[in-house]
Amino acid sequence: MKLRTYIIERFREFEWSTLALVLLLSASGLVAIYSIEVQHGTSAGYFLRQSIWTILGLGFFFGVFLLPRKVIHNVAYILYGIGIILLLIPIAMKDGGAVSRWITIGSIGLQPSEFMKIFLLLGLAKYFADHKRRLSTVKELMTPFAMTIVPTILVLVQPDLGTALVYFGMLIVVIFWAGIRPLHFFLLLAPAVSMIAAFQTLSFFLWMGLIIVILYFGNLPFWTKIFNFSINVALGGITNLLWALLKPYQQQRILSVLDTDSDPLGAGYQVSQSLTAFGSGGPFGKGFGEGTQTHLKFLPEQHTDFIMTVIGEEFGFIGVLIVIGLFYLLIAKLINQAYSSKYRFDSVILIGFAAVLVFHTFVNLGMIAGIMPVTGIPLPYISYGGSFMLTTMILAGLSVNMGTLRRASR
Amino acid sequence: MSMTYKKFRGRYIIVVMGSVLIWTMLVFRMFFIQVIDAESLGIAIESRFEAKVSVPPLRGNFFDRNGKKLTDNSEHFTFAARPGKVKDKDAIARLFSKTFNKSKQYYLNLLNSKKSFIYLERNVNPILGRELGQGLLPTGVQVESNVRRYYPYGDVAAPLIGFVGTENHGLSGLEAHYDHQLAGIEGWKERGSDGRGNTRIRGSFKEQRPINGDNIFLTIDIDLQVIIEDELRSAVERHKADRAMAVLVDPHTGEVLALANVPSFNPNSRADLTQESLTSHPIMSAFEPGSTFKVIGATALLENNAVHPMDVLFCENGKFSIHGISIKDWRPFDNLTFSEVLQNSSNIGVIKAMEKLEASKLFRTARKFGFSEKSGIQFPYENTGSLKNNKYWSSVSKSEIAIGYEVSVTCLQLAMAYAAIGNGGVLLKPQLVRNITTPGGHEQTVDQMDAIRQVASENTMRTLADILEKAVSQGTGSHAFLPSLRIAGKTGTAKKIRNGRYVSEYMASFASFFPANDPKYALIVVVDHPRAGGYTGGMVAAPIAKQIYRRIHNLNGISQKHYLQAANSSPSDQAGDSPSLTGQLLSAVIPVIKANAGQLIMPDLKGLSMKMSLSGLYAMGLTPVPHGSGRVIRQVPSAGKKLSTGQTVEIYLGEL
Repeated sequence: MKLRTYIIERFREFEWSTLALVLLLSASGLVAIYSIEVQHGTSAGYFLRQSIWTILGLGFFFGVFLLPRKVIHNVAYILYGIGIILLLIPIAMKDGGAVSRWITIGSIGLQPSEFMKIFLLLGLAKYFADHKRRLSTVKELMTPFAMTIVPTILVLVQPDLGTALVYFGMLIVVIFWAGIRPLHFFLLLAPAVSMIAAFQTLSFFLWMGLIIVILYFGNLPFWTKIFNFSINVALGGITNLLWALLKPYQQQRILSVLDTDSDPLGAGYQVSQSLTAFGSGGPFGKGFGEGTQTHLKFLPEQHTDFIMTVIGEEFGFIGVLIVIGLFYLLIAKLINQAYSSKYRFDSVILIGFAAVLVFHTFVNLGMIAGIMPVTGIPLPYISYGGSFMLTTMILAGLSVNMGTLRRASR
Repeated sequence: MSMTYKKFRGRYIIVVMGSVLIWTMLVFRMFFIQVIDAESLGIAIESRFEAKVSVPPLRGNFFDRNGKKLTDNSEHFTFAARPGKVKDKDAIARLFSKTFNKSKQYYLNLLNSKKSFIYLERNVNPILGRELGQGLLPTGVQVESNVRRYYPYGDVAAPLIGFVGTENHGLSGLEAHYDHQLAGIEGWKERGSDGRGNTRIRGSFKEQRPINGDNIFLTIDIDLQVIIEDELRSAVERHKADRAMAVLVDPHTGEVLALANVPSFNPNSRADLTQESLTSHPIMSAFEPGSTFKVIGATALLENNAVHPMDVLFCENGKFSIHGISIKDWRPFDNLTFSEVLQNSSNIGVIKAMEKLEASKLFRTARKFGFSEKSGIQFPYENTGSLKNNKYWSSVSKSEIAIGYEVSVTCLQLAMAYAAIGNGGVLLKPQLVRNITTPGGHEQTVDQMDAIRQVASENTMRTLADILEKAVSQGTGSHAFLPSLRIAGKTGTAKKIRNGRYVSEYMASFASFFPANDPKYALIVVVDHPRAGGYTGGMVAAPIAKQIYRRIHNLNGISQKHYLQAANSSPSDQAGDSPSLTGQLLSAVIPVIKANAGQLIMPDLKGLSMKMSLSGLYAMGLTPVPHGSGRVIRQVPSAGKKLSTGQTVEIYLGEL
C-alpha cells in the first residue's frame, strides 16, 4: 500500500516531456533501421532486436526513475566499483592477445564500457556532493581525475579510443560545472591544445606565447608555472612520437577529416559515402524506403554509426533538422534542470548526462558530416546497439528522477 | 546547507552558449551539405563510386573419356569508338584497315558518321583481338572483351552436350542438365570513376573473385563419336532417310562411349537449330523396335526351357494366321530350327515358338531387360518407352510383342539389353558422366559401374550370342559381316505408325555387339524412314554398323592387316571411300602427335577437314582458331615449328 502510494506520488511529478523526447528519438532510430532492412531485403533482425532493446530500456528508464534518490546516492561508489570489475572481465577473459569489448551472456553481448559512463558519472557526482568541494585547489581535482583515469586505461586496452574520449569529455564538463578555477581549467585543457598545435610550427609558438602570458598573470607559485610550461612544451614535442604510436587506421581517420578528398577511396571512403547519401537526400529527402543507398551498402556500420545517413537520405534536411532539434530540446532541458537543481549530486548527474549526449551527438553527426574523425561513436537512441540504448535509457531515467526531486522540494 | 548553482550563472551561460554554438554548427553544416551543396555532392561524389560490376566466372567444360576438350570458352573482342571524341581518325582507319583487310575508307566513313557511338569491329577472334587490344590504340577506341562458348567439335555430339544461350546458361542437353555445376559463381568488382567519367585505377576497390564452374568428364569417346556420326550422316544421305541414331556402349561397364543422332545442329552458329535437332533421340525418343526385340522372347523361351535351339519349327511357307491376324515372313520358309528362325528373322517361327510360353513370362523377361523403365542415365527427359502389363494384353499381344510390336523402346534401352546378352546376362546402368571436378581440384564421381540385375543365366545368353553371331555370318545381318571380326547382331525392320495406322515407312535397325565371344562394344544403329537403297535393317542399318566396327577396329590398331583385308574383300566399300579416308587421317594425325609428346611440333594439316584438324590440335593441347570453312589451306605457325602447350594455332579453311 505504501509502495503504491509512493509510485503514484512519483508519477504525479513525472517529466513527461523527457519521456516524449526519448521516445521520439528512439522511434526515429527504429524507422531508419526498418528502412535499411526493407531496402536490403534482408532480415538481419536488427529491427526486431532494437525494438526489444528499446522496450527493455524503457523498463530500466522507469525502474531507475522510481528508485529513491537517497539509495542511488548511497550506492554510487559501490556501483562505480562494480563498473570497474565489469571492465576487467573482458580483459581477464581475453584469449590470444585480442581483448574483446564484449561480455557475452548466451547470445547477448554487453559492452561494460557503455555502462561505465553511468557508474563513472555517479561516482563523480557523489564525490562532488559528499565533500562539498569547491575545487579551488589542484589537490581536490586529483580524486575525480583518478576516478576517470582508471576506466579510461581499461577501455584504451580494448582499444576503444572513442569511449575513452567520452569519459574525459564528461569529466571536463562536470568539473567545469562543479566549479573549477578558470586558470586550472585552462591549464587542464592546455596540454591537449599543445599537442594539436604541435603539428604546425607557427601555431605552436603562438600557443606557447599565450600560455606564457596567462601563466605570468596567473596566481600560481613560480615553480608550478615552470612545471606547467615545461609540460606543454614537452607534450608538444612528443606529439610526433605519440602520433607514431597511433594505429595507422586511426591516423588515417584523423587525417581524412582534414581533407576528405585526399584519399577518397581509402580512409575518406566512408565519409564520402555518407556525404553522398546526405547530399542526395536534398532538402526534403527521397521518402521513406526510397533511399537507394547504392553506395552505403558498402558502409559496414550503416545501422550503427552511420544511421543518420539513412534519415538524411530519406527525409532530407527537414528530417535531420527535426532529429537535431529533438536532441537540442533534450539537452537544453537537462542543462536547465542542472542549473536550477537544489542538490549538487543531482546537478552533476544532469549536466554529466547532457555532456554525454552532446559529445555523442556532436562527434557522431560531425563524423557523418565530415568535420570530425571516424571514431565509432554511436548516436544516442538512434544507432543500433543494446548496451548503449540501455545506458542512455538509464541516464534518462536518472535525469527524470532528479528533475522531479527538484520540483518536489519547492 | 546544500549549495545552489545559481552562483555559477556565468558557467551556466557558457554551457548554454557552448551547446547552442555546437548545434548551430551542426545545423549549418547539414544545411550546407543537403541544401546548398546537395547537387554537387549528390552527383559529383556519387559518380565516384559508380557501380558494382559483375565479373562472370568461366563456365566449366566437358571433356571426353580421354580428356579431350569438348567445349571451350573463347574470348572475343569488340572495338568501338565515339566519333566525336576521336582525334586521330586517320591513324585508327589505317591501323584497322591493315589488321582487318578492309579499305581505309570503310573505317573513315564509320568514324566520320554522325552517330555518337560506332562499332569498328565486333567479335574479333582472340589472336587479332588480343594483339590489337594490348598494343597502343589511338585514343578514343574502346575495347570490350566477352567470353563465348565454343564447341571445337562443332555439331559432333551436339544434341547430347547441348548448347549455351546468350546469358551463358545451358539451354539443352548436358549443358542444361549440369548448368548449376558448370555455371560457377559470379564475382563482382567495384568500379569508380571521377566526375568526368574516367575510370579510376587508384584506390582500394573491393572485389569478389568469381568461382569458375566445374569441369565434367564424360564417358564418351569423341573419336568414336566422330566416326559414328560420320557414318550416320552419310547413311542418311545415301538412303534419303529422315534421321539416324546410334548408341555405342561398353557391355562390361555400361559406359556410353558414343551416343549420336543426325541431323544435329552446329552449336557455334545455332543457325540450324530446330526442336528436332535439339533432341537427343537415342535417350528421349521411343520407337517400335520390330525384329531386334525378338531376342527378348528368345531369352524367355530358352531360359524357361520352352524351346531348344535345335527344335524344328514349321514356318508355314511364309503365310500364317493366328488369333485372328495373319502373319507374313519376309520370304517363305518351311522347316527351320529355332536358331535358324532367329537368324532368318522368321516372324511365324517366333510366334509359333512363343505359343509354348505364358504371356507373363515374356512380360517379365522384357521388364528384366529394362524395358518400359528409365535406365537411370544422367540426362534430362529420358523416355521410358512403353510396354503394357500382361494383365491388359489382348489375345494377339503376346504374338505382336514377340516380334517387336505393341512395345516401344529407346535406342539406349536396346543397347543396354544387347550389352546384357553380350556380357553374360547382367543388365547395367548406362554411365554417361564419369566425374565432376571443381576448380579447386575436388573430384566427385557421378556414375559408377552399377549392375541392375541378372536378366538370364549365362548359358542362355551364350546360346543366344552364338545364334546372333550366325545371324550376321549366315542370316539377315550378313551385310554386317566382316570375315575377320566376330560380330553378333540382329536386324530389325519395323513399320511406322502414322495417324494410328501402319504405313509403308520403316525404322531400319541393327542391334549388335562385338566381339561375339567377349564383347568390347554393343552398338545399336537405327535409321528412320530410309527412302532409297533398301529399307530393311539388313540393307540399311547393318552396313552402317559394319563400317563403324571396322573403323573403330582400325582406330584401336588391333589388327591393321585384318582391316585392310576386310576392306578389300568388301565390294560395297568402293562407294564409301571418303569416310574411311577420314578415319585413316584421324588415326594418322594423332599417333604422330603422341610420338612427340615431350616436344610439340606443328603438324602439317593441309587438306584436312576442320573437324579432323581441330580434334588433332585439341588433342595436342593447343588452342586452334579456325577461319572460314572447308579444308585447311593455310596454317599459322607452319608445319615443323616448335610449339608450347596451350599455344594458339590459326587455321584457314577454304576450297582446295
